[in-house]
Amino acid sequence: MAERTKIIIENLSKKFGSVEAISSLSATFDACAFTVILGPSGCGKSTLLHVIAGLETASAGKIFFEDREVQNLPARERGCAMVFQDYALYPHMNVEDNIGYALKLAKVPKTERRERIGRVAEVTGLQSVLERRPSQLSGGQRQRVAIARAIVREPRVLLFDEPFSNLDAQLRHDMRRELAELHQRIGATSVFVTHDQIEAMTMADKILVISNGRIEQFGTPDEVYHAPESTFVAGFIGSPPMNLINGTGDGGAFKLRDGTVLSECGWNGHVVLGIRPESVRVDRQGAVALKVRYCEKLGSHSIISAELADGQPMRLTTPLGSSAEPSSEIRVNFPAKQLHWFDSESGKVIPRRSNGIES
Amino acid sequence: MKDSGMIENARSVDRAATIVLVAGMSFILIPLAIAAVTATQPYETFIEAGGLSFALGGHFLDNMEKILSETKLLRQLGNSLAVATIVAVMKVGFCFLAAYALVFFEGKFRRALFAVMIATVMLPLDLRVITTYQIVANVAMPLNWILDATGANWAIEKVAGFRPYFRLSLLDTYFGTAAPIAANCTAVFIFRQFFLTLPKDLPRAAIMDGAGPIRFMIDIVLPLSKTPIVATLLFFFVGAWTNYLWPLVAASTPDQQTAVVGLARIADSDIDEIPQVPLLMAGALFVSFIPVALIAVMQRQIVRGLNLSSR
Amino acid sequence: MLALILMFFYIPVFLAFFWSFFLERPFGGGSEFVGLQNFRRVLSDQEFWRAMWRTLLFMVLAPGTAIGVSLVLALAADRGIRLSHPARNIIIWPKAIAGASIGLVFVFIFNPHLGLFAPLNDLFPGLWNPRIDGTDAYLMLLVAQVWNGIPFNFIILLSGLQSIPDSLAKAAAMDGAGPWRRIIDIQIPLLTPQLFLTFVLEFVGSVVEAFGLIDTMTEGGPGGATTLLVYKIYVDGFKAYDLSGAATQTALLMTAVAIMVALQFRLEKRVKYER
Repeated sequence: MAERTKIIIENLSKKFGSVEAISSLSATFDACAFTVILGPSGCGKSTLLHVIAGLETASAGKIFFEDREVQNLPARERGCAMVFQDYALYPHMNVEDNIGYALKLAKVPKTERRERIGRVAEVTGLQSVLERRPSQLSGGQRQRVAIARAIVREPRVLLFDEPFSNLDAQLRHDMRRELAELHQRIGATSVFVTHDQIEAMTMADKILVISNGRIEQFGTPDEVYHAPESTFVAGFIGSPPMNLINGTGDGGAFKLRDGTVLSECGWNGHVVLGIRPESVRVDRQGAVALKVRYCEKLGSHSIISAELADGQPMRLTTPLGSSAEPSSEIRVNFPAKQLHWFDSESGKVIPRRSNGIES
Repeated sequence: MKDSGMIENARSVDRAATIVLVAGMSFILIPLAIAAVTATQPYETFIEAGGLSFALGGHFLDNMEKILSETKLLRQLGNSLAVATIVAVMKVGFCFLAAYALVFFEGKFRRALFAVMIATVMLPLDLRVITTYQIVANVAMPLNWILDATGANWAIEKVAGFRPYFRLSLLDTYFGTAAPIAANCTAVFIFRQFFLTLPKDLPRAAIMDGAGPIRFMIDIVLPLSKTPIVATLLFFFVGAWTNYLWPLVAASTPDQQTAVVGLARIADSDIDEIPQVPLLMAGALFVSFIPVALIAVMQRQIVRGLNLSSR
Repeated sequence: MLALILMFFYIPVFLAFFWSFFLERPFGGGSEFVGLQNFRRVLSDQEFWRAMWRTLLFMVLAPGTAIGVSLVLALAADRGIRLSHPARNIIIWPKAIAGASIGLVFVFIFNPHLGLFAPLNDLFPGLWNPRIDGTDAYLMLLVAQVWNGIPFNFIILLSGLQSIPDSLAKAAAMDGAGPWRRIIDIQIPLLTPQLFLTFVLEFVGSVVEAFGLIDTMTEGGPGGATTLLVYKIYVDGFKAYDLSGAATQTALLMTAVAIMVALQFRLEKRVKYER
């Protein structure tokens, strides 16, 4: 079991020339937790990981591993290990040497090295391929070597830079499960960067959603999904993501541009209504009329793409078997408890007056 | 190798290609074949036949024996070997390090360094042979300028009563012949191109594993660069071996000349009589054998290692 | 090593320009600033201009022929027929043979009395004699230069051809382009970067590489017909000890080469295809 290390980031900034990749970011990653940094490409998530690892230097701010200030330490003194997107295995070394390279540099005696490599190989299921070169391995095996190489040093902090993005869907699914189990066993503080929300939702203890180098939300998968703090998070998470409808609060009702009333509303002025596709209830007597554009049948459920009265698009999911013809009209209800309200200017959530989240 | 038969049946094209290749190989091989055949003829038969003839003469070994005993070509072959090796090792060693620094390190002087190196590719040694000769004839010349320009000489003259003038000639040395040929950075581009094809996370992975820049170079980059290193070594070895103008002026005594220069000097010596053509042809084969064998045997490695397609 | 580059590259280049403004006496006999007088002398010298024109003509003919021949050979070798394999090996052999060595072979082959054309001369006396006829000598030089220049161009062009994705040939075949059409429409356009590279290298190469051939084949003759600038510089500098004149010509030649290479690079940027 690795040393318990929590990661504290204080007002961290990183500039490339005049471009600010990370701007004054603060967060605490709990010891032994599995934290996922989630965001679209170019949002600064990989940069953040590299700064934590020591591969990039911070422009400003501090990073602590437990109570040790590390932002000025070179990478090798921080005690991190990293798994890379393209694996970055050494092509001229066999699997055993790849895994053992860091130990060799750390001058670990040969017998101990062999023992530790053997142990890690067993955990990652690589015993039978230790003699092979990376070019002779399958994608999944290469991925395992990359992970084995990282964990063999028993690092305090394990960093993952979109490690599964080169794998096919089935393999990705398997690796997610394997990595989650592995994390349970070794318990190092783990930080995992991805743009894939399914990876984030299934593996994370906590998710840090960032965009344009700023934190959008930092919370558990449940919080991020059920209580998004901004339209960005609401629109990024979920497949299909939350519907975000522009309208006006007027006299207790939420109205579209053409005056159609969708639901009750406690605010006046421009406001954004958010509702998850699965929260929309199809109901013959429903208050809201939708014009169906398209229906995707996925077996377990169907996704209907439709239009509101003023032309704004929205999507809803319906249970197995139910579907709708294009151009037909369906009627739906927006259950009041499932509604999220966002400020139309800032995109931030407008806090509920009622007590907390219902589900 | 491409299998063009997959696309369609293109007999006419393949036939034309065959003819072209036969013609091309003939053009390359006929001069060599003539040289080889003539090298087997004794001088007497050569004269009787009235010059070029395609009859094998069986005197190849005799002619070779004459080359070894009557000329200095054997010693000069050794000179070629030494000069070409020094050139290849210096060039490849430096260019490897320079390209490594250029690709894996950020630095203020990176662009300037790159520009400094590009220029050396544009102006070949043979173009600046006059002034390079002057420098090699006295490598202390720049020192004299500095002493003159800074007034140090003037001061020394006042104190010691004489004006110092330093003189150090590298003419007629292996290093003096090799160094100007090696002062060229073509291989920087080849290595740079190769390094850029390595996965971008590889240096990061090495850092995470605790490897510093030197370790990364020795443990990771060097073994991965085996192919381009071997290719450039061979390429520059052959290039230095076949160099003519510079070695001609840099070494004045037959004992220090390279084999190619030595051979040309033999040809020079007898202008009025009918030249010892069979002997010359044997000599030409003798001085060309080593580089041709290297190229022929290592053709694949050279072409692959230079990676000329992606420049 | 940087010091070596400074010492044996930058200082000589600088020195050539420096001396072109001085009258430099041989054997360290002192020097005298003469301004543009050297340039005036060189530029008004008919021999300089004749050598310059011969060099320019050579710079067009030799690379043009060598690259043309190499291109045809590379296209043929790229077909992947049985002969491709030996051809790829044999065609690069001349790379390993010094110009000065093969020059001796060619001078024998083209010898008017002993060589390949001797029987022809018996029938028509004086038809071929590079020792007397300047054009014959120039042609002989050209053939030898092409022979020596083929390998490098061939390697570059062939690797260029082989890096063109197979799928492009297949796509063009589906579009109805036969193998001959594909050469014109697909292979040669996509080979532009390599063609440019060979032109740049051959351009510079043909200025200087002919030296070994000239020195062993013709020594600049007959009557100066094969005196290219590089040979003239050598003779002026090392035989006539006219250091200032040789340095001035070196400076002029270097400037010309640098300008041409720069122009070619400028041109290359326009025709590069992103793949």
